[in-house]
Amino acid sequence: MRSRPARVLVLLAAVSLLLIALDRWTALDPLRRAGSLVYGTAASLIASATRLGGDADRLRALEHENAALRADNLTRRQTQTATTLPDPAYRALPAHAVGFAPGSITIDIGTGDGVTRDLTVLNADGLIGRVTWAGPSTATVSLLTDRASSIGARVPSGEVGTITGHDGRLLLRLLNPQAALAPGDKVTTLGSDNHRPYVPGVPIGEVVQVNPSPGESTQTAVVRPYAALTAVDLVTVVLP
Amino acid sequence: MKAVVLVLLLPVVQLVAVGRWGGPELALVAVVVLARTAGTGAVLGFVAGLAADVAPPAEHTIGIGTLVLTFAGYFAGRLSSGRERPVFGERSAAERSAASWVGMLAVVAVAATWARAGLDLAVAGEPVALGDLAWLTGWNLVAVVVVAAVAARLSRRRQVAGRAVLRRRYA
Repeated sequence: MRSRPARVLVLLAAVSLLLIALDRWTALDPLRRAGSLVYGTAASLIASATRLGGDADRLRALEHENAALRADNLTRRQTQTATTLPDPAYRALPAHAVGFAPGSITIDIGTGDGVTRDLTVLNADGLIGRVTWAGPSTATVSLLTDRASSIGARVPSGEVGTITGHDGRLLLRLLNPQAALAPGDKVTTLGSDNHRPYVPGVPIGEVVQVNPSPGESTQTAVVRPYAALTAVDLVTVVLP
Repeated sequence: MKAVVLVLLLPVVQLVAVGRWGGPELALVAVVVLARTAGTGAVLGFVAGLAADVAPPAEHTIGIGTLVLTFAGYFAGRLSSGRERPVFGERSAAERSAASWVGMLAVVAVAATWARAGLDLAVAGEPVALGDLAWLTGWNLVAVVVVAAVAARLSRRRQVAGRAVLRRRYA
């Protein structure tokens, strides 16, 4: 005969295990949506209260225009080698970062505004990351420095490679080990199929250190992201 | 009850304020310090863990934090209910007891942090960066020790005040 607290523990632990199993098999999205609705809305309210200004409406209109111009601007600054540039009329949604966690931010727009998963998120300086989950009123954006992130990238010489998260910085792996690469080179997104999750031509960061790689099959370099990822506020979500 | 309301509000604070500088897990700190008995501690941990799991960011598997905090609340509650509170005992004994309580809670907090990282890796396949884990462990450890020490001091002050009242009444 077990004591009462031990029975409580076993019961609650069993429920937790059941939740884990359900979430692994069927994704408990109704629970996540409820969490987004309650906690996301609360975070959005607090964030908007802290930036309350006089003419909020005018500001909102300017933010919309600014977001559209920014997306246009950032994705049009192409390298000459990007010949396959389609000219899509991107739609851009402005959003505020309202929640912060290691490796991700929460933004104050969601499926109600047209946000879905796998969309590019950028700000005035460059790429921020991609939407990994969209709830009714908030969405989760995985930062490009997150360990699980991997982005197709292009350098000025036209060579392509991948960018992965690497302790707050980025690691660039070029497929061609003999590719010309120097500190100061600008790294941009290569673009994904159907522009999801990444649209082409968005500045990612600057090469700060090229790692010597004699005899290796790829060339690696450390890249510093242009966007200050620890102080993100206004961001743009690009709808391809 | 107050503790349950508090842990339901904590995900907002974590999201808006603490996450900016990657600080401690508030839910863990609150559960470990506020758990009074094993049974209520487990319930408190379950509620706090579920709230933290469903709150944004929506990247983690729901249930892992719930499981870890349920156990953390259970063990912290067991430590707290077994804690010596000698009303007429020696002062030093009470202080020793408070210090060992804080120390044991710190052990629970560190164990919970590592169990969480291990489960994230084993169940969800989320890679664990050892540097990040070290930072998180440090944050949680310091936060639990500081908050528990303050709580022990407050409860001690309350005991001393209560004893003074008793003494006056029965003098």
